[in-house]
Amino acid sequence: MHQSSFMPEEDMLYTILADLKRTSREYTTAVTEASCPVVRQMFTDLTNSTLKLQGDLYYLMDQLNMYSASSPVLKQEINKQLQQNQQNMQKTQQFLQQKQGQQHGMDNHSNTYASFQAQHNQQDHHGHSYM
Amino acid sequence: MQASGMSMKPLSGKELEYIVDCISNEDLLLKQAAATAASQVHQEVNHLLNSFIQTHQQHIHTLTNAISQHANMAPTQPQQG
Repeated sequence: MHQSSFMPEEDMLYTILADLKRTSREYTTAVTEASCPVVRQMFTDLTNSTLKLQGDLYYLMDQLNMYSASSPVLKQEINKQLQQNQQNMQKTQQFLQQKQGQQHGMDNHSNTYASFQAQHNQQDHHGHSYM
Repeated sequence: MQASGMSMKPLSGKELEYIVDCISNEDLLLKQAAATAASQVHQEVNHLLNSFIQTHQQHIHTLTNAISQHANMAPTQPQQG
């Protein structure tokens, strides 16, 4: 284990990692607050670049066993959340259909978006989501 | 970093504050990376931090350029609204 003269290597890297996280958040906020499209694009690019730095440092610290991520969640907990999410999505779907029905009562357009959403949600249940 | 086809608008006070704050953040990150790379660290950490120093310098350059580019179109009298 290398030692630094000022602070242990691990602690110094953790401080940089924390500041990269904070800076990424501030860039993201700046994107949402920008009114000039050129400034917005600049902040978007800087957000992505800073997130890359944060990711690169995190993976290196992980490789060097300097960062302990939280322990894996149990399968039961994942299934519980999936179930709750499915119930919530059904309620949202009902709400959406109700609101779109009201809209189409006014303009007589077909309910294509709701049927697309229903198909999409069904695919999600059986597909590769939640990975 | 100006995207093609985008028209530039005068910088708002809020945008200027964000840019200035971001320059401070980049400056701090640059110094942290330099100080850490200068101490005894793993070789791969040293390489990564040296690449960070270059990236932070580029970021500062980009942010400073954004202020300069907007200086020409900034009003010289206070505007309404």
